[in-house]
Amino acid sequence: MLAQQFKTFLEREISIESGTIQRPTVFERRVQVFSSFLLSLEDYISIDANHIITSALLSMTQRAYFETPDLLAWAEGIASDESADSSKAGQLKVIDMIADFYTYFVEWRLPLGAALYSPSKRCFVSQAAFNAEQYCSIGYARFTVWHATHCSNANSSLSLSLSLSPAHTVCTAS
Amino acid sequence: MYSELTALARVVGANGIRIIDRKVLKVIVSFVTDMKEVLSSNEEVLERLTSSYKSEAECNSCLASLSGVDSFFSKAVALGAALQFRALMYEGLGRATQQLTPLVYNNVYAFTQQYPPNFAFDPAFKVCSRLVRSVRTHE
Repeated sequence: MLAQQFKTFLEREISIESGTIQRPTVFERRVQVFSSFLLSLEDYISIDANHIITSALLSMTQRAYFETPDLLAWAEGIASDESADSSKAGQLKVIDMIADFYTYFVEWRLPLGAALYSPSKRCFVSQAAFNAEQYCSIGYARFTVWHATHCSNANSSLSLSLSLSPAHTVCTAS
Repeated sequence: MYSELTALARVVGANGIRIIDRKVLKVIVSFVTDMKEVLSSNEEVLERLTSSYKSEAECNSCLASLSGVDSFFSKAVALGAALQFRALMYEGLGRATQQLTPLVYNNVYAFTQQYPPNFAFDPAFKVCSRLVRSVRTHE
């Protein structure tokens, strides 16, 4: 029952709305909190909390092609075999949601120019749906303040405004 | 840096990253297929261009007759971004492994230093390849 609760918790925490997932750092922290709670229960009742946590997390990423001795079995049939990614009911939902989110990001947002790769920051930056509280790092906030005070009249060049405008990190938040 | 992807790798592990990578690779395959179609449709013009690059007028006529150039370059940029995303993701995995299991990471890294490069498909080093892929020290 606790194992099922843990899986339900994982599924509930990863999805915040349709098509969007929880930030991995937030998700990881919440998983750690729940795991700590389960481990603390061991002091009061007789359960194998480590087994519950490990089995729930490992069941997220179980696939048939990982069981074969072939090293590249996971990468075979990428263009044709769709059935290899189909998940069992209620078992692989979390990793599928995460994978779908990042696939959508790579397939649709990147080609449209919604996010650009920044080699200096080693992350993807975007102007759209800016939400500083959730995504902006402290370094980026300092940079934005510096830009507002020093470069407030810099609106002549598109590239300049693009590179200096407040942007949020899509994949990373250093 | 890349803390989000590192956190993701810590939660889902090497196999989870591979599942994401598999889906990203499907997108990359579609990009490459589209680019290949553009190149195939322009094959004749491109071959003519390679043989006549010394003549400016002929080059210009060849370049003018190319079709789907904008689509090709937009796909190329998207492909580069997708590959960059993969590289970041695997860097995050390597960093997560280094943080969670530094002893394993350092041992596998030292182990791979003793062998010649490009041993991934050598049957004699199958176990080593599996370790490197799981830990993602370098490849």
